[in-house]
Amino acid sequence: MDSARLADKLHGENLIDEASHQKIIAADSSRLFSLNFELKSLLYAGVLLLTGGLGIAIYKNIDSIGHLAVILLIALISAACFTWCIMKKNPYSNEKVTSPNIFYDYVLLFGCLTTLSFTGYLQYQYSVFGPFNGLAFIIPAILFLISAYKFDHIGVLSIGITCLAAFLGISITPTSLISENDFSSDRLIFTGLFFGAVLVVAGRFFSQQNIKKHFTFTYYNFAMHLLFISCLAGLFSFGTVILFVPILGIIIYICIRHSMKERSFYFLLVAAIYGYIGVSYLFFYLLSSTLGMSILYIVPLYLIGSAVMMIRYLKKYWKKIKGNADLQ
Amino acid sequence: MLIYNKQWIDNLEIQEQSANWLKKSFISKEEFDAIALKYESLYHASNMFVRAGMFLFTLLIIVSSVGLFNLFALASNQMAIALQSLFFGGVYYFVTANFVKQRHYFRSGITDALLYASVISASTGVVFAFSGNNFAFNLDPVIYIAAVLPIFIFASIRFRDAFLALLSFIGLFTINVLLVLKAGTIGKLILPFEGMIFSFIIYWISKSWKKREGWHYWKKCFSIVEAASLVTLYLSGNYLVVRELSNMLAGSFIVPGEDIPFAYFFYAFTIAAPLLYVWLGMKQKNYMLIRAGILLVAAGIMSIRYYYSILAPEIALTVAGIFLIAVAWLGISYLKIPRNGITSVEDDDSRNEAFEAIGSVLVSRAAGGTIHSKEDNPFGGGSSGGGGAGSAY
Repeated sequence: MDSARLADKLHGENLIDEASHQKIIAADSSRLFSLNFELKSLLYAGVLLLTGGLGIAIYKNIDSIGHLAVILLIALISAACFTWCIMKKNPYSNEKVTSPNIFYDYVLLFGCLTTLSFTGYLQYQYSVFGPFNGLAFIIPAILFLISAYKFDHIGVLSIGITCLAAFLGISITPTSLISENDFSSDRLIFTGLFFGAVLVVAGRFFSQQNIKKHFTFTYYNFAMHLLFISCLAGLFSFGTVILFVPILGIIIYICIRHSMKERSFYFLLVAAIYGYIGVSYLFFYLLSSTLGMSILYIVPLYLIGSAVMMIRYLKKYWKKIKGNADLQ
Repeated sequence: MLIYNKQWIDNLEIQEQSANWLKKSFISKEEFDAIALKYESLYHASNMFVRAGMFLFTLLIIVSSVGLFNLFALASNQMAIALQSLFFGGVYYFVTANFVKQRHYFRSGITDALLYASVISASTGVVFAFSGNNFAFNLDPVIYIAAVLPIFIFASIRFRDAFLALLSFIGLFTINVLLVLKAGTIGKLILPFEGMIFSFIIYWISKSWKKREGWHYWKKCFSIVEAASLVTLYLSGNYLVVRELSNMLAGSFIVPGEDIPFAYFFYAFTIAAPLLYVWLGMKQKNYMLIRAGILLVAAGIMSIRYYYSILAPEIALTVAGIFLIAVAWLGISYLKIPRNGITSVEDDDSRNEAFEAIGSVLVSRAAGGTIHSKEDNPFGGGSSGGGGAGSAY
């Protein structure tokens, strides 16, 4: 049933008064068909294709253009993007600031991507930072983190965090987190745990100071996956149960608390899945030596029993979260 | 036919609509409570993540149970496998129906998993039963598909499941193609046109059935079949598909200088049909047509480029990028003032969180590529990459 007809019906049954009825009818009749999403997607695709195309073109013609010219061009583009954004941007506030127009977000993004190319290029071609390769990551990382707050852009914040992680030697793209990191090295595992903890603290600090609270999710989301994967990797490759099990417990506890506080089921579900993997591993790790052949029967029985428990538990928490939402 | 309580579904929809009004403060909290009291429903609004979690763990239970059962009674005989699969299909179905009827599960990951397991299990049973005494499955594929299709259609109607409706449509379309091909040379020649007509008929049927009185409960099923039939309608006449398929079926390759029959029609169709979709979508204010059109235009251009690549890739990418930005720019500025009820300004209802999520992933891919091209990192540990997960959960 469409909105106007439903409003008529409810009004006829005296469930909503005349004023509300009028508001709904007015909103419905003035409602427009918005192509915002479609046009933005085209813009997005256009920016990506253009960047890709120019990148390949430069790469192919580097001999005829010359490195210096290319670097200057990239720097110019990036500077132009940032200048335009500074001119257009709305005044800073600790709250969420709306973009002045549709193109703003993309220009800023384009500027950031070119900055990244710029520093990378400088280091690759001229070794500007000498042996300190990390500077090629940490300088843009700082720039992006500041820009994210100044221009209020979550995408830039994500790139900033990623650069910072790259500076520490970890790859945290969604597609590369597991495949491109060698998690059997203890250095990487502890760096991951450390960086995850830093992100949690940073996210918590900014949200407590009421600075850009809508960024908190991004911090916590990065942190959660990084912490869980580092911790499980530690558990699997070293089997240092006494060290990693308490860490796993702490991370799960923080996730549950956070999800109850924010009434976000997402954090709870992710914690449940990672936690389930960890606990199941532990279960079989401890029992595999003692059980022998009977493990064939124990495995499915364990999986059935534990999955039933997980469903019950998720249901219970979902009801709790929803209950809290109703109280609001 | 529907296993769910229709009254409750309607009431839940009214509640959801009213909640939306409350959010926009069109109605007061008291009015909302009065509506929720009058239109009460034992079904609850679901959450994507809850549903996904339940689905995952239910699937784990199902798989483990089958494993455990087979430890005791390992079936190796054809008939035994068929019987066991049919039996399990029946059990899952019974449990699903019981959950829905007794415990009023609605849009629940548990019933989703059980229903899919039931359909897959029953279909496996039927296929094994039909294939007779060996594992070769050498019957005509049409027979297998036709044999399991009723199961899919029945389940998609009874549980108004959109995914099963989509699979049913794909099965139906495949049967249609295989039957036409049985007509030999003529069949191969008319297949593209027959495919278009068949898709159009299905599109038309599902569009008109969706509007029937009391059939709105299956709205999502019809919508997904509509979208899928638009895609098959396009693919039936897409130059690349027609050419490759005729190569495959004829077993010979088109020599240079030669082309498939009616080649010019297919060139025109490959590009023009998606544009027509977009145009019709704007006229009818139908998002599905517009989105399908935009994606298919891109597919059409790439299909033609596959055979005739005039521009070097980097030039093509750059030109395409500039063109897209220009189109978006023009569209955004032209539609700033609404024209014919179409606007480029953001609308609360269509505000798409998925877009932001997809956007962030794309950004991180792009940034990842940039960082990736550089040399090793300071510690020499894991290799580097970029980006991050979405911002819109």
